[in-house]
Amino acid sequence: MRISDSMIAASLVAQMQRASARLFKFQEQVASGLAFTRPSENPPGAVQAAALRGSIAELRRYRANCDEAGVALALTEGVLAGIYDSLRVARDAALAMNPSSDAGNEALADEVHVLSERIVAEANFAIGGRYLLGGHEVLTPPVVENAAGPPPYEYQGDRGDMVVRLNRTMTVVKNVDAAEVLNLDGAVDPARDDTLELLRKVEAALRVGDEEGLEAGLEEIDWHLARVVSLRADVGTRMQQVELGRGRLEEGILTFRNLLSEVQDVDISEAVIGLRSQEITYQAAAAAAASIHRASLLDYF
Amino acid sequence: MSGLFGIINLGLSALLAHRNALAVRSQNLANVNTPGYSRQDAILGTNPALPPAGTSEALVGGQYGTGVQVVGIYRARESFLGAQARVCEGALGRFSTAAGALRQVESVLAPGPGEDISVALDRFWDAWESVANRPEDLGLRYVLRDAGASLADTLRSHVERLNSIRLTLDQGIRTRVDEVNTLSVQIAEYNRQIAVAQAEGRAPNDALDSRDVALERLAQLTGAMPANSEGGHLSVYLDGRPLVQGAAAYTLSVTAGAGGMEVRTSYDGGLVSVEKGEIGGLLYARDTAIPKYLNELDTLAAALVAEVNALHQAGFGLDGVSGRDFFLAGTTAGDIVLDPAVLADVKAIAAGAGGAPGDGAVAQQIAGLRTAAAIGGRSLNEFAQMLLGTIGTDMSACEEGIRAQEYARAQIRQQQQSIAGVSIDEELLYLTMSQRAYEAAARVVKAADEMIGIILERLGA
Repeated sequence: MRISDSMIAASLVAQMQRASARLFKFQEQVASGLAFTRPSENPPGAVQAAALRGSIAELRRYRANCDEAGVALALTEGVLAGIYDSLRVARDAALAMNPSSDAGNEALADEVHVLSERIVAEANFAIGGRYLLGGHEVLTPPVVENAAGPPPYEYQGDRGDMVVRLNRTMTVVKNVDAAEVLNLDGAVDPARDDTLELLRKVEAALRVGDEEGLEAGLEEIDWHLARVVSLRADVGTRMQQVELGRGRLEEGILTFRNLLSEVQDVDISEAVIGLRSQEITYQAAAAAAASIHRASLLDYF
Repeated sequence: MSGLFGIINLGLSALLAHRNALAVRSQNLANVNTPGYSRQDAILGTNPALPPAGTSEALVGGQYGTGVQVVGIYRARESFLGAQARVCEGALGRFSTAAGALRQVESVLAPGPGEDISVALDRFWDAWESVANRPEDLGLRYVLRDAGASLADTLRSHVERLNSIRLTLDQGIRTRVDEVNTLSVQIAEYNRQIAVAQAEGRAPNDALDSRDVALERLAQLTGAMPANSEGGHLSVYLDGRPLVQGAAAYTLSVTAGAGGMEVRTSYDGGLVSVEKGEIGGLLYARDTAIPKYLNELDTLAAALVAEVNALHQAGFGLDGVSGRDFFLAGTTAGDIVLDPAVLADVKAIAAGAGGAPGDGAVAQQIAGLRTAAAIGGRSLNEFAQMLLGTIGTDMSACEEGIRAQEYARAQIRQQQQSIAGVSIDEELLYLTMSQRAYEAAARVVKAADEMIGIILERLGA
């Protein structure tokens, strides 16, 4: 093949171009840590990376939901514990009735009164202006005095379930409502009094020393205590479910992050070695170009 | 037989021939870097010998030569390589302008890793889920409204930027069509010059080179191919219609029509479809590729508006009102905005299935659109992610085409340059040969002159 000067020049330029393009590619990879930055460099990889990023965003959202549900359930559990404790103390007060001490019974009656008010306060527990036990009616206290009573208090929530999504298929109800806890408006058993009405009756029985009334009241208190216990167990189960879900989500996020890294991140050691060897190639190409271009017959004429 | 004056004449013919050959070498060296220049060679031939064959003159030792002349100037060129180069340039032109436009589209749709529409969608669904968890929280509703507005902004600005890319392509098409018209006129003029020169028996080498350069650029612009590629009657055809016929040139004109840019020829006023070359690539990007992406964005926006609004209509705002839209109904990607009621007051965002402030059931359903099938069995997010695949594949197909064509072009160029390119060393050798031959011819003249001098001196004294 006949070789002309323009041929040599063109092929040297092309070689230098190719060498510097490869060098640039490696430099870009090492600098960004990414195997590709534009979809055209790896179309299937770009779609996969976007899908993985989307999955991670989705799982992170569910994790945030778990945190949300976990906090709400923990607060609810606290409220239920408070109500349980108050009921226990009220039960003890009823048991402590002494037929021979009117003054003592009066004091016990006062204690039961305070306890019932504490239960109302627990049921109206709010955090950041948001009532926990009112169903969807989060802006109004769920338990308010009933001027037209008895019963002494009425429920003004809507018993709505606050559903939180834990993953694509699983949801959890993050609230318990006051009507369910206290059997307000006969929400659980219409035949029975609500907790507050019951305590009102116990208080009245203590003041008059009505032993039969107290006996009946004690049985009722036990029924209410059992309800609160079973609700606490239910909330506990839900908290476990949330924790379990959260753990799975953490695993999922980690897995997807690893996959994403595999798709989009560059193998740094490979890229650095590539960069070095490309540098050498580039220098060799430059040296060859210079030496070919230096040789000329002009030096001998 | 040859006389002394005959020898002087012979020497003179050699002086002239070698001087001319040296001029050709100088031309080669001068044009060593001229694009499209074909190396030339002075072809030397002997002058007719004397006496001519068939004459009855008594001969001593047969015929005598009368010297040398330049019988022609050869132009080193392979015409089939030129044709291959033009085919290659036509394909390369299309790929490179299409790639230029698609790269801009790519930077709109995927400005960087993790910065595509699906990310804006994710933020939007996140905001809905937060509202679902605390629907009464006005702060979260503001966040949701901002996320919705920014998603709408993203879609609108995508459409706007794609349209502005199309506008710049219009400009590119017009300038290139003007260039085509200039080239057609130039080629017609070269045709005329070449025809005249050939009729006079001269070799119009430089005009042929210039015409080849113009033809290559024309192929690069349009993929137009010449027929009858040597000589002065060359024609260039594009989509079956002539751009150049001999010394006549026809012009192209472009107008923006409803279905895309329309290219017409002054030959018969008909539409010319330009598939190849830079203009073909720009037309493809303008009228096929970008409309495809605009269409995809519209599909996405329409599904987003329809799906979100359908759920939103059924829900209640904090003000207890139902039946309102979240996005303004009937909008496309180019004009998607939030509903005025939502813009005016975040309480209008319908998060609940009932009127209670803590009811987030509808917000939760809307957040669930993140994974719900919405467009052809795919979720909105998946559809947005597929857009990346589409632009990535389109773009990498162009880049692949460029690589393949550039490789082919380099091969053809190399073959062309192997034949037509100037080698300085080679020219220097030939130059020296001509120089030495010229010196030798001068010696011949001097020898003959001295011989004449001897005779004049001896006989004249």
